[in-house]
Amino acid sequence: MDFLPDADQEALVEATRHYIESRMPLTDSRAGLDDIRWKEITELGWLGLATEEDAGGAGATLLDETFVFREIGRGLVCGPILATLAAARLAAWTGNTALSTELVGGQTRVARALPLPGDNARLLLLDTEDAALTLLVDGDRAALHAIPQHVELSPGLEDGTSVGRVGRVDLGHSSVVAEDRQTVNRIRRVLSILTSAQLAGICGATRDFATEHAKNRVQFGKPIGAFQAVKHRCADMATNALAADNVTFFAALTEMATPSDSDYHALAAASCCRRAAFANARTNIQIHGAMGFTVEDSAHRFVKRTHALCITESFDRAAELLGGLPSAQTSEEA
Amino acid sequence: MDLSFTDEDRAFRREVRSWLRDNCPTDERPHDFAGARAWDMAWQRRQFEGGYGGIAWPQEYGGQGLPLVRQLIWFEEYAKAGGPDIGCGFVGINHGGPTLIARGSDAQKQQHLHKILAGEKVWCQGFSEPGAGSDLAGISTKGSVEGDELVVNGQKIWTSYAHMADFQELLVRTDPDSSRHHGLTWVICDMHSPGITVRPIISMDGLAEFCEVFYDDVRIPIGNVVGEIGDGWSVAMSTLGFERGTGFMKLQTELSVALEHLIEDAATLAQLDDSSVRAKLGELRADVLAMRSMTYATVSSAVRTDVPGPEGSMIKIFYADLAQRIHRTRMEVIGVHGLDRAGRYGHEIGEYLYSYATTMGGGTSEVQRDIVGERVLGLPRNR
Repeated sequence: MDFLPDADQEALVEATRHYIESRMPLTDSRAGLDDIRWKEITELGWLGLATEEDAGGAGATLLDETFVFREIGRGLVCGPILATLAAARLAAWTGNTALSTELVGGQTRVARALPLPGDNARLLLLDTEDAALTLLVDGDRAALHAIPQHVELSPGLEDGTSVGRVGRVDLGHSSVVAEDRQTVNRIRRVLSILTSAQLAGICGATRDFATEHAKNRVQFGKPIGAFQAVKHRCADMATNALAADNVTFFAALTEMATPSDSDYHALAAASCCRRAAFANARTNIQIHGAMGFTVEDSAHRFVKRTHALCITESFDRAAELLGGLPSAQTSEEA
Repeated sequence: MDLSFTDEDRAFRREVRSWLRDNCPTDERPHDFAGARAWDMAWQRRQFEGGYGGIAWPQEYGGQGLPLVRQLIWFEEYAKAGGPDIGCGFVGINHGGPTLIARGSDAQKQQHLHKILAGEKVWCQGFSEPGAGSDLAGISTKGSVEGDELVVNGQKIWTSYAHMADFQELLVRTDPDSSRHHGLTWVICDMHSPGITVRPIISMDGLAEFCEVFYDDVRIPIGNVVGEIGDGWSVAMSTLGFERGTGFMKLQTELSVALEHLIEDAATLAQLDDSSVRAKLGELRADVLAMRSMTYATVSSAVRTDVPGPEGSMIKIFYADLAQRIHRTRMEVIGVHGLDRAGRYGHEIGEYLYSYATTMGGGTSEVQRDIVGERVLGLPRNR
């Protein structure tokens, strides 16, 4: 039992952070995933580190992906990375290795389709630009569909993003479908754990930004971080980030170790990271004061990303689902 | 990173599971002080004789000399088996003993360590004073060197189990001209010495675990000083450092067991049909798992570096808040049963009332937040 990253894992984190900070810095909010950067992240293996090698992946682990997605969350990297990764996994697990290889290789991008509450006929599409397929995980079914030719786009919650609305009937042919509960839940857990990882990254980034501001902003003759009212909120952000990191690692390690089909650890990470990321993102705005309320500072972007991630994966329901499960027989006790 | 335990670790887990099943006390702990002490010590002795006293203590002092992971496994199985609270053995096992291991003389180790592990002697802690709580460096209890003795006058407070103890880890000011962290001395005080008066304090859960201790010309041999005269602060800090490291292993497992009991209670009381109750219990489960993962991280870190890092303060903050939320939720779940102190949930009501201590004991959550802000995040000091 060793619950700390080893040297290789630390090197992966460092290299990923270095790449994001140099190629998609937060200060440049327009530095989206253009074709050049999409090719770069594909070459870095982001779309299939843990996908099996015969399905185009790198044969690494979900934990390695967790480290990468924590950095993606920290750097607010945008684009259809997670949906494309999950689509490749779905293709691989349903025997479509050619499609999986194509997806991991970045040739086809995958949008995300989400059911709209109270409107069973229509779907909201995310990241549709340049995407040919969309991933729809709904109830006991996960599928990849072709995207209709003409989708009207309108602004999304996150600045610079757009969403599309389509009717379910307008979705094209589904090239890959999984309707067995085991595969669908397994895809959900990959989406969930890598979303928790992004939220953990948000927790760490907001802790660092708030702390940095508290060290430099002087009022009443001293840095505001010398006042306990501010210092203690920064300390709580650090505690939230520590919890979010470790519970996410725990979920990833458990998913790797047990083929038990239990959602327990993934739901725990979702519930914990959701609350931690919202608390940190909000506190980061407050500690930045009026500057945090402007679009000039990055603070608002962490709040918007946290909403986007949590809504997409229905994280607001995680706690209730977890509370209704039988108690966990966790792997380390076997 | 690796979550798996070795075959040897798994065998150890099976072994302690079966030992605990056969040996955990099933009779009720007596309520009188002498009876409670005898009961606690008998259980400690049984663990020692079974080969489980001081699992991670060095073998030369009567421990098992096993890796910290084995200690973790022991605590997990102990809590799951419903093992009793450590009771009055707490300070000796968790504070006094480890401090002597780290800083004591050979003679002090010879005299005390075996008796602590074997459940023969009870220790208590004499640090806090009426004027020195969070500000521990404000200690004013005096120790005057007279020949080969230290003569102690003053008062300590919040001393758990002083009324049952044989020895005390006592922190006194030996240099009257000193202030703050300087001029303090850490000394082993025999609690049966003339001049000591102990007054138990009843806490809000109705128990009398805490005491005030008064010292009136108490004479202690100089040979009982641990470390050097005037070096007491650094000796005391080695104790507190220990508390913030490995102590979480046991606490997190106890929380996990307490929460699963709470969920069983909620099912029994037909509350699980309510989605808001399920959501609340689910959040607690998520945070208990987070607590466990942080404990694993801190144990792994202690295995690598041998020193608990400052992240211990973050785990302490997280634990204290989580423990209180679990016990508050229990009061909500049991509803009207919560008014019936001698009823079906009497024990749980006591645990709820006790939980108010978790954000104070071992350093308040406010002081912990100062430590995290200043030593982890590097924010400027506020005093």
